[in-house]
Amino acid sequence: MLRKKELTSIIINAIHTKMLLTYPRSVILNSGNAAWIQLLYNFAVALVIFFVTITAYRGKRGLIELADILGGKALRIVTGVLIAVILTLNFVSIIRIFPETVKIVLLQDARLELITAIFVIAIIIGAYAGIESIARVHYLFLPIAGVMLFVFLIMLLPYYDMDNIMPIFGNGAKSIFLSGFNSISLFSDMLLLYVLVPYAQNLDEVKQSGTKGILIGGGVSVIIILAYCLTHPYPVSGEFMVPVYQMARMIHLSSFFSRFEPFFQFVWTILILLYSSLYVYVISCVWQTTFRLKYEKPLIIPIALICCEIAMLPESVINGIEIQHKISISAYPLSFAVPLVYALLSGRRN
Amino acid sequence: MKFIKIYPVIFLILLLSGCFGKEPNDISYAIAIGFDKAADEENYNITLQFAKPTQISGGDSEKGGSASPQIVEDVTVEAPTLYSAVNLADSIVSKHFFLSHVNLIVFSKEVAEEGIGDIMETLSRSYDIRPNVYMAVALEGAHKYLSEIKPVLEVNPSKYYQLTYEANGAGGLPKSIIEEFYFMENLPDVDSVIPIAGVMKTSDDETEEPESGDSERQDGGEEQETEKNLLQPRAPVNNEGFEFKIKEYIAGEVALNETNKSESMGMAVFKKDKMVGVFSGIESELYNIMSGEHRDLFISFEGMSNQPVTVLLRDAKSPRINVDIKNKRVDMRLYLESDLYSIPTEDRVEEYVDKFEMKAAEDIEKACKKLIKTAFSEYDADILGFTRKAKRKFLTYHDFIDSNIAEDIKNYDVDISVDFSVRRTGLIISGEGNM
Amino acid sequence: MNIFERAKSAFVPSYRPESEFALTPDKNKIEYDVREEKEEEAPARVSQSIEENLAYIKKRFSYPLNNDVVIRELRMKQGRRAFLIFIDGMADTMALDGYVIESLLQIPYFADGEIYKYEDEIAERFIAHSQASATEDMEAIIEEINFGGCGVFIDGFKKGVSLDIRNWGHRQIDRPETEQTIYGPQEGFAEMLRNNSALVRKILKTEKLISEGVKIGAVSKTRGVLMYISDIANDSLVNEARRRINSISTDYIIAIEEVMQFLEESTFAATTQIMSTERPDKVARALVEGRVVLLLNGSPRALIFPTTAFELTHSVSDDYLRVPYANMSRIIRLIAIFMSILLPGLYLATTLFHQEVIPTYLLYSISASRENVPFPSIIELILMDLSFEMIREAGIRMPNPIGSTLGIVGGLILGQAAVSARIVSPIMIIVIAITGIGSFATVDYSLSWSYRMLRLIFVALGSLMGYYGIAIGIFVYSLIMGKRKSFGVPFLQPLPKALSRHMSGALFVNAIWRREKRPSYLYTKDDKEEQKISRKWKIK
Repeated sequence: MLRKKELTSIIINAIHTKMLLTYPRSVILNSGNAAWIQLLYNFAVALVIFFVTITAYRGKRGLIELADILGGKALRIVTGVLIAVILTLNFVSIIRIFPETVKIVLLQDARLELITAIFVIAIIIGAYAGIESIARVHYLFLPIAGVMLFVFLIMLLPYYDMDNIMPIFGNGAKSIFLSGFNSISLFSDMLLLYVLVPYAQNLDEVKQSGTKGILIGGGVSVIIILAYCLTHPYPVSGEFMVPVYQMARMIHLSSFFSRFEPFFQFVWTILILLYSSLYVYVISCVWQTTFRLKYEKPLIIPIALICCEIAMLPESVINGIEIQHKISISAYPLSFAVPLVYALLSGRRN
Repeated sequence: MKFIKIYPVIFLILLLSGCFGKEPNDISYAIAIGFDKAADEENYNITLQFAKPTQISGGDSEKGGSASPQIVEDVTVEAPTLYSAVNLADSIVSKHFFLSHVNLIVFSKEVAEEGIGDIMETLSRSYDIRPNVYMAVALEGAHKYLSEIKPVLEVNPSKYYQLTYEANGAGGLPKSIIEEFYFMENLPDVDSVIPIAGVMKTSDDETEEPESGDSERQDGGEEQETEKNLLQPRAPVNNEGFEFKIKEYIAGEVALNETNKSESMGMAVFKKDKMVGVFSGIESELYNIMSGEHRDLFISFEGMSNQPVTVLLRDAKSPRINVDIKNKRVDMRLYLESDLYSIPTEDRVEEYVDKFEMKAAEDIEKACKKLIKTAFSEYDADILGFTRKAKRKFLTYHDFIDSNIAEDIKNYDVDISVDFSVRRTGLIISGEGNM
Repeated sequence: MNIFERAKSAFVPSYRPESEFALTPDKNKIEYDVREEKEEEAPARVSQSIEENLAYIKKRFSYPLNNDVVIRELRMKQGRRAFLIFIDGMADTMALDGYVIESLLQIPYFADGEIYKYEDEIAERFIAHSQASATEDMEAIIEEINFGGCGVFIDGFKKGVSLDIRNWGHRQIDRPETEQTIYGPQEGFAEMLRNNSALVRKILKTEKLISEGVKIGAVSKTRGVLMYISDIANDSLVNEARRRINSISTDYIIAIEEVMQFLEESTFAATTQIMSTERPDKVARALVEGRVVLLLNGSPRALIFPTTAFELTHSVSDDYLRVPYANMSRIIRLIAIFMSILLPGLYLATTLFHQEVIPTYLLYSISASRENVPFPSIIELILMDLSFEMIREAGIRMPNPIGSTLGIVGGLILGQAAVSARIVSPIMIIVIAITGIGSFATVDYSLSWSYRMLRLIFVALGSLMGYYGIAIGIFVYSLIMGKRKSFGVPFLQPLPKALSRHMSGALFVNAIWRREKRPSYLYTKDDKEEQKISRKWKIK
């Protein structure tokens, strides 16, 4: 049984984790330093879609059970496999980029395979602990991460310059609103919320925690990208690979407080590890509910290993980023559409 | 329970992976890097200056008798890029080089004139080098400057670099770090400036040729004394109102007598990534004031009699720049306030404070206009960032680029108005009592 | 021996056969197995004939082989026989002499026909001792005798009487040894069960405080007491506690720490899941919050369950100090805990992998001081850490005055000598010293051990993979801890907010007039402990 606060922290973490990797760069390449406007717009649209979906949702069943009721076994299997594939694709792109980030920031001399291997072992152990434990640690850890983020943004105060976000509309309104719609993939992790509905107390709690989670997670993402745009001028801001790390490098209060980025990366590593354990656990839950298996824990090791294998397919960071971009563009419509459709249909059968 | 049996196996596997990290005393920490032009056109002579920790913090006994133990060492190699130089230097110096504690990067004049874009690219791409490393241009050559560093007050040479280049109180240097230079080098917003570092000339150096780059200097006039030990400072005296009777120094000319012969004063102007000119110390101070980045400075103005009056100048508010595209004007307002520090005895500044303020404001305005005119017309560089302020007037980035304002702004009318006020007069208030 | 043999024996050592004793297997020779008493057909009963009783008792107690057991035969008035049996040293001989034997000898003679009228009432009417019970069950009487009581058998009566006249040498109630505070009561538990439960009862003077008796251990039958306040504590919690305690099946229980290990859910976890304390005021506070407490005879500690991870770091003085000081002391304690787990690991990670974090000048000192040291950092750290632990372990075994001095002197001299001999660098000594001091600041003794274990793991991870390793260590450890439960309560119970009206904030101490609600995870019957306005003098 997950409580409301724990569910909220899960959603917050799931949404803003992508900001800690290379996601902001793709937004900036699209619309210049008006990326914060684009993200704000995405945030509003995602909020609207979420409200529509959750208000239309009836009953306390997860998505797959709902599919079972609506269309029987075939629909259940199709939905389940679809959701599992979407989640896996989402997850795979993170697994590729994150060890690269760690290698750049923290452990420059280590081999990538070693970092990835330890990462996979850690998330397997974490996923074995179960959803309650994961949710509880989320709830305990996110305030600490929030305080760190606040301190981080305050320490960057000397570097904010309003001129960096001028001209105010960046690459133009068309690129913000039309082609900028694609970056709503940041919020595609809301799919997790609908899969986790059976673990919550009732639908009301799901609604409240989802709203709060989206508000805080989206707000934090917008603030991060706004800070990045304020500190880096336009064409240069699209060049750096991990924007948040770049900002952390800039902090220089005196010679003592001058290279603090390993500490921040330390906190962000734990956030991403939590996110990954949650994902592995949820994916194995999805497979279990789809095929009516008895236990979900034996599925954890194979799923983690398969995701790791798929993630290692791109040969270099360059390929990895391209493929991640393509995946996120293709997968996000489904991750919004599937819950929306089922929510609207759930009212029929009740 | 099975997990407990797996943990030691994992631990052993990790041990075998060889990822151990380096002990801190197996590494040599470079403090400064210098770039000179090599005889072969394609390569640089890269100097890596590194510290000797045992000498600095007294690991072993110091040899008594020598004046000051050598706390830094240099190694110079010829290589096309920085990291190939690190590669070569590793085989000369026994310990592996880490560049994460570098504090200063010095370019020689020739390298700067040819363009430092490639080097900046390397420096920004590497995770080693911090983005807030200071830069300097050494007119006599990077290696010469670095080898003359003998800090008198500090034991830690990197602290010397930090304090010198941080521009906290020194008015004669702009603040320039790698990150900002890299941001601005390819943007039309602003053209960067870098401080100039130099070495004092002594009589032993007479045999050297004077710089071939004379013509960058504002007013000519070099004097060479051959009899004395130290050459008289060669800078011309400024007779304008702003910084009255101060000489226009560039690094290498300032001190008359110093154990540490390296010094920094003045700034080099860059257009994109090539050096195009040199400004003296006075113009650097003015630049600091106009960009709003200075702390308190002691500036002298012309008083009623032909004597200088020294004040402590600071910003009351940050400067406002407004670019009017339709009327092709740039309006700049500076808000300055000051405390009187040194007044000649015949001068009773307190009695005519208003006139003094107005005259000082005029002097500053004149000097600013001159600086901007020089920057725009002679060097074709927008060092104060007017283009950047012009960005506010556009809606999208493409409009901004298409309008080509970066070039046009150099033909705009620049109108500078200064709000100068005197606040305090120190411990003495002379005058009739009816102020 | 003739001369040849003598000469031979001078040069050849004579053969001495070695001792040929070896233990022979001796199973199944138990005469009377107490553990299987329930499987017998019928429990032994007191018989009316005193000769049978005497023979049975002598056989059971292996009298006179068992030197302690004393059997005193009496003749009451008119020659009716009786005998007392007790264990010397455990029974109070003064009470025996003055009350029991005296009153037995005063019992009037009844005619054989009348005697059976008073069979049931003999204990009630004639025995002048406060705790006496008459029973037919021989096992009960034997158990009482084993525990220091006295058994009385009178000829012709079907019931024997067992009297509780224990008095053996025991420690007086003294200051608590490990949990000392400046403020607050200074009493600690001693080994007598009744004294301990009395210490608790005199704080909470309510009749709803229930002390349920339990007996743990099939042979040792160690008596314990399960205490809870029936109006507050959750019934399912009490039932679960009772169920667990009653299902411990072992022969001998010697101390309560063994019971603790029987009761906790995961024996190999890094931290304990049951709190143990020596102070009655801590026990009283726990009972008021709605927890359940176990006291055992012969152990000066009490077990409190359930507990959460944060409460194990709380000290008693937090409730006695003023709120600002208590909060500051908690912060210092948290920093000490943090240092004692993570400081060596972070130090190794920083100097081996992330030298850019260190300010330049400090880096030169570290580098210069390490120049002369022959070992790599991690070997230095392990050497010094092991020496510190050995000193600490040795200090425990020494008698008290020498022990602490030895620790300090040994540490200082060892550290200083090691630095002068250039075996370790001075910074390592400082790191180890701060870590050691941090671990002394931990309140719970078993928690300090768990931190020592964790410290080793983090040192290993930090030296192998820098900050990444430590992040992974923290992540895995928190998730494993998140799975643990302590009597059904999740171990990492989330912190209530700082100004909430809870009795025990996990991180910060509330003002005393704000501690209104009992911990919600205990699901107590009654939520509120204080009223909303606790200082009525403020309103007037």
